[in-house]
Amino acid sequence: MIMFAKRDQEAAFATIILDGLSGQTRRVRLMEKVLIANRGEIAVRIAKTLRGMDMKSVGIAHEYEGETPATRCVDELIVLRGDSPIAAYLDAKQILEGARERDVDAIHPGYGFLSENPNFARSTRELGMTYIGPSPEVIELMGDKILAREFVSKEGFRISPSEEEEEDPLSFKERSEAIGFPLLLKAAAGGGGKGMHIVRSAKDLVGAIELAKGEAERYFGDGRIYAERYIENPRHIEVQVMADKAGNCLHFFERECSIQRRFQKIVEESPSLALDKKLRRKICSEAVGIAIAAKYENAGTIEFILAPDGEFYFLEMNTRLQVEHPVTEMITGRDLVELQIRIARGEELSIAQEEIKTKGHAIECRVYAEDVEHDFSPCIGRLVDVREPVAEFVRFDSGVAKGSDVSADFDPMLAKLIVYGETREEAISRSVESLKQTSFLGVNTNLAYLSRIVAHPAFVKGETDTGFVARHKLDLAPKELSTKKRRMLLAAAALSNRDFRERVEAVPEPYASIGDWSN
Amino acid sequence: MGYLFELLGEQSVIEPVYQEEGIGLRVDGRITDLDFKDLGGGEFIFEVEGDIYPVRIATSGDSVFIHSEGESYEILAINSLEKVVEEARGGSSSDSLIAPMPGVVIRVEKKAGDLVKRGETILVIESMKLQTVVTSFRDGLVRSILVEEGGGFEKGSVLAVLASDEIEEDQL
Repeated sequence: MIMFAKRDQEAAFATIILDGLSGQTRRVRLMEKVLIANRGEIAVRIAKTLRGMDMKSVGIAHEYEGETPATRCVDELIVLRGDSPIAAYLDAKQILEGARERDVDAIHPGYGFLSENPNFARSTRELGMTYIGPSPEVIELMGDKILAREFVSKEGFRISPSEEEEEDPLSFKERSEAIGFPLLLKAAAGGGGKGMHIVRSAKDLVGAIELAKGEAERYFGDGRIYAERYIENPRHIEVQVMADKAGNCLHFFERECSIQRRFQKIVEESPSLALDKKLRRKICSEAVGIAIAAKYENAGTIEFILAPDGEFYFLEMNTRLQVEHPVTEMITGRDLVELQIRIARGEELSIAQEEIKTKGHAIECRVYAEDVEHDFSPCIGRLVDVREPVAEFVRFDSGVAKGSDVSADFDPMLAKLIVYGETREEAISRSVESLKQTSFLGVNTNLAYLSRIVAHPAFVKGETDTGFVARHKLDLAPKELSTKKRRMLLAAAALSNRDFRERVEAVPEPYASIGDWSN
Repeated sequence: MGYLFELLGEQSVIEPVYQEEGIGLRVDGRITDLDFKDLGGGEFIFEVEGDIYPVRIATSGDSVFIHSEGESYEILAINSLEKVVEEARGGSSSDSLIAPMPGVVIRVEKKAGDLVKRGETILVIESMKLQTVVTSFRDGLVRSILVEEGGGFEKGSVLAVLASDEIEEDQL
C-alpha cells in the first residue's frame, strides 16, 4: 500500500511511504489530476483507473460533440474549439493550454490522436507536466519504421532477412538466393504494393530482378531494389512490455492479432495457440531485449510476424497503450493503465517477471459501425437502442450509449467486447453468445460478422493468420434470409410502425388485437 | 389498404386482414399466421408459423430496427400504397400517373379521350401479388394510357397521362 505522506512545497514532488511497517520512503512526482487527451472508450477506460487511484480526471471534447460516456465519466471537461472535431483532438497547443489552466499534473494520451507524437510528449514535459508514456526520443525512433528496423537489426535482433542490390549488384542474385524462397523483390522507394514481385524459385529470379528494376525506375524514378524474405500467411504476434525509469523491464506475454480486415485488427486473443512454451519464452525475451536496448520506459508493444515455420521477425514497436490491452489485463489480472501511471510518477516496478502469470484465455472483438458487405465501409447514424452483454466473464469497453450519434468525424469503433474463459473453447463459445446478446440499433455494425468469425471452424481450430478474412470470405458472408424470417421481420416492423398500427387499431375490438401489443 | 415496407433492398406489401379470430397480416400476398408477446423494454417474442423468434425492436422515424438471432435489420416504412400513388403523382403540378413499384397491368378501364371524375378507376395493377386500383386524382380527360393489359412496368413508369387544364377547357 502506497500512501502520500508529505507534499513538498517547492516542487511537484511528494514523499510516499512505500512500506508502512519499515517506514521506507521514496520521492515521486505528485500526481493528483490527469488530463486524458482522448475520447471514446479509451477515455472512459483511463478515467476508471484514475478514479480507482483517487485522482481527478480532466477530459476533452469538441464543442460540436454532445454528451458522451467519455464526457460524463470525467471530473472536469475542457471544451475544444476548432473547425473540425478531429483537428481539435490533434491540436496539441490548445490541449496543453487547457491542461495548464486546469493545473493538470500529467497527461495520458491513450491511443491514436497525439499518442505517438514526440513533440506533444516533449511539450508536455517542457511545461512541467508528466507525460504518461515513453520519452520523446524513443517515440521518434520507433515512429520511423525504417530507422526502427535498422536500430533493432543493429542491436542484434531479428528482422526479416533482406539484401539490397546497391550494395553489390554483381552478387545480388546469389545473396538473394541465400535468403531462401519465396522472395519478395521491392523498390527501395516503393509503396502501395507497386513494383513488388513475389519470386518462388531460383529459375525466375533473374527475370524478376530485371522486371522489378524496370518498374522501380518507371514508377518511382529510382531503380534501387532489394530482396526480402516473403512470409506467406503469417501470424501477427505482439508482446506487451512495461519498463520503469530504473531500467526494469517486464513482459506481460503475447497477444495474437492475426484476424484483420483492411489491415486493421478486429479479433485479438491471448495466449496464442501458435506459441509453445519454448517459443513463447523466446519471443517474449526478444521483446524485452528490444525495449531495454531502446532504453524504453512505460507501456509498449513489440509487434512480430510469425512465419508458419516458427521463425519470427520484428515488425514495429508501438510506443503507447494498445487498443487490445484488455486481453492481457484479463489473463494476467494486472491493470496496465495503473502501472503506466505508477511508472510515470517515478515508482519502480515492484513485481518480478515470475510473478506475472496468466490464467485462462481471453478474446477481444472490436465492434465497428461498418457495412461488412461493402468493403467494411464506415457507417453513420444515431443509436436508438444499445444493449450491452452482461456476465461476470465479460468486459465491455464502450464509448457510446443510447442516443449517441455515430459520425464520420472519428474512427468508427464503437466498443470492445472482451470475454474470459478457462479454456479457449470456453472463451469462444462465450464470445459467440455475448456477441449475439449485444445490439446497437440504428447503425450497421459488424457484430454478426464477428460472431461468424469466432464461430468459424478454422478459428476454433486455431488456424488463424492474416489471410483468414480473405480466405473464408464466403463462409463469413451473411446467410440469406429465409422467407419465413423475412415475413416475421416485416410483420414485426409493420406492427411497430405507428402509421400502420393506428390504421389497424381504428378497427374496433375484437379485430384490433394481435398478440398482446401494448403501446 | 396495403403498406409498403423495404427490407434488404426489397419491397414488400403488408396489409391487415380482418378475420373472426382477430387481425391477421398479409405479407407479400400471403396470410401470415402470427402471434407475439410483448416482454417490455422493446423485447418481444414473435411466433410465425410455428417458429419462435425473440426480437428486440427500436424505431426512429420511418425506420424500424430489429435485432434477431444476433443479426440486426433495418426495415423502412415506405408508406401506405395509396399515399405512395398519391405522392408519385407529384401533387397537382403533374398530369402523370406513376407506378409506385414494379408490377403488371391487370385491367385498363379507360381509354384516351375518356372523361374521368376524381376518384374514378383508370386501371388496376398488381404489384407484389397485391392488386391496387389506380384512380384519377382529379376531374379531367384521359390523354393517353401508356400500358396495356397483361403488360409489365417498372417502378416510376408513367402509366397514364391526364390532359392538362388548358386542353381540358378547350375540349370541355
